[in-house]
Formats: sequence, structure tokens, C-alpha cells
Amino acid sequence: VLAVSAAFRLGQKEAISGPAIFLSIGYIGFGTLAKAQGLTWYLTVLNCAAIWALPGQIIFVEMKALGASSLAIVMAVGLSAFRFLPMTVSLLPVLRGDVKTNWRHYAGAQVLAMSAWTFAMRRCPEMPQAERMPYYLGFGTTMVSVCTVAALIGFFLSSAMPKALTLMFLMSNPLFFVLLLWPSRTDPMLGWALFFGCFVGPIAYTLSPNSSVVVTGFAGGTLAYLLTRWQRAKVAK
Amino acid sequence: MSDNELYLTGLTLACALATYLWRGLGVWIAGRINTESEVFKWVTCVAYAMLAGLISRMVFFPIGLLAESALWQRCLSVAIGLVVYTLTRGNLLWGILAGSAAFPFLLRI
Repeated sequence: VLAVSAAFRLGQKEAISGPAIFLSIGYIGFGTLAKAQGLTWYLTVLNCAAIWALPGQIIFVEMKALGASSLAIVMAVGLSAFRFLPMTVSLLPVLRGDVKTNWRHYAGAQVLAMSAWTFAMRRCPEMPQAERMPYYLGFGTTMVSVCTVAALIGFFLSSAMPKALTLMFLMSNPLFFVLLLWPSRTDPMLGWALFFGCFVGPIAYTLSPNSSVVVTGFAGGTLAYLLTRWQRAKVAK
Repeated sequence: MSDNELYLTGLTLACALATYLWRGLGVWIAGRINTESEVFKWVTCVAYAMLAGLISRMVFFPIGLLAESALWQRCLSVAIGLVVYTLTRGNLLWGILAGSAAFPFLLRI
């Protein structure tokens, strides 16, 4: 069993040795965008640290640039963050074990993002309970700080970057998540959830871009759940 | 700080609050459901499907500069990443580097 601080450092190390670098690439892109749409460096930093959800942050900057009303912006950003609900609901029992929910869990939820979720879901079940929360916090806080610095770098370097490099940075975003989720395909239930999500996502987007993420989750996830249940029932017979 | 910057600070914090609402609500609900339950399995399915949908949307219907590329170029870039990832026995760094570094070259074809 690792000491609490050692588990925290393990989280930091695993974040910095891959995910933080790749997400930084996305955040360099965000800094570039923020500068192009007229945000100051201070607002760029605040945006990263306070919202900490790249899709929502991009929505903020783009809607602001389009001159949308404050209420519309807050609603769109809030809606885009709905994914955190099923993510925290599924992650928390893994992190917490049989400890009662406390303020640390509420504070820790602020640093949750796709990468921290995927890593913690994969790594934590094999760890002793006392190491899980420190590991997650080490991972999450490293992601936030590294990416905020990356956004600043993008902000100040945007004008000097060649287009090929920008394109590489942009493409690394979906790639990162494809590879991160790839091993989960072998789990019968999660495999179907990923499969249906991939199909429903683009279709829902063409029908209604604003609600597509939420609709995809419910439609694809429910299909996967029902199919696995049906398969289990068949095997049981 | 100018008036506009002050306004944007408030707007950013309001958006941060709207985002945190879901995070906090999730923690609250998670304290009240059993991980072995069917509801929990269903919620996990919803979370994975949502992520998969978001990512496949980024590949099929990208926004911004990526939208100037062709679908096959983006798909091939992902495929190269997956092949290298598999060949290096699941090394994320090499997989992503290979796939995304190939992308600007694929655009010249």
C-alpha cells in the first residue's frame, strides 16, 4: 500500500507522462482561439481553471464572438456539461469504496474531465481504497494546471504557429480519446455502449446539434444496456 | 479591469457554476445508489455512449479548421494511430503522435 502522498504523486506522474501532454495540445488550440476571439490572457486562464471542460469553454468563446446573450451562453455551456452527471455517478463509487461521501468528493468533482474519468475508472479498481482518491486528485489537479499553462502558451504563440502544426494539434484531440477508450471495447456492456454511441452521435448531431450529446448518451447507452441484459437473460436460459 | 472584462469575468463564473451543478449533483446522487444495481449499470452505459458519440461527432462533423479536411483523411489518421497503438502494445504516446503527425501529410495527398 502506497502512502497517501505517494498515491498523489503516482496520479501526477501518470497525468504528466501522457494525458496532460495530449490535452495540452487541445488547450494550446483553445488559447489560440481565445486570442483570436478577443479574450484577454487573464480571462483565458480563468476560463480554463473555473469551467474546466473544453467543449463548454469552446462554446463560451464562440458564442461570445457571435454576440449571443449572456443567458443563452450560460445555458449552452451548462447543457454541454450534462455528461458530468453520469460520469460522477459512475466514478464516485469506484473512488469512494465504502467511505461516506464527504466534502472532499464534492471538491474533487471540480477537476473531473474525460481523461481523469477514463484513467480513474481503469486504474482505481485495482488499487487499495486509501490510494484511490489521492491518485485521482493528483491526476486531476495536474491536468488542470498543465492545461491552463498550455492555453497561455497558445494565447501568446498563436500568431507564430505554422498551419500544419495547428492541424496536428487539432487532430490529436479525437485521437487521444479514441485510443483511451479503445481497451474498453472488450467489455461486453461497455463495448456496446461505445459502439452505439459512435453511431448515434453523428446522426443526432445532424438532427439537432445542441442536444445531440445528451440524446446520444441516453439513446446509445439505453440500447447497450437493454441489449446486454437481453444477452445475459439468453445465456441464463 | 475594464467594464467589459468585469462583465466577462462574471459570465465565466456563471458558466463555471452551471458546469459544476452537474458535477455536484452527480456526487450527491452517487451517495444514494448501489454500484451493483441495474440503475448504476445503465448510467455507466449512458456515460460511455455519450463520450463515444462526442468523439465520433468530432471525426465525422468537425468544427473550425478541421472541417476543411476530408472524412477519409481524418479516418486514416485515426486508423494510423490505432495501428501504432496496437503495435506498441498500448502505448498512448506513440499512437497519438503517429496518428496526428501523419494528419498534415495526409492533407497534401
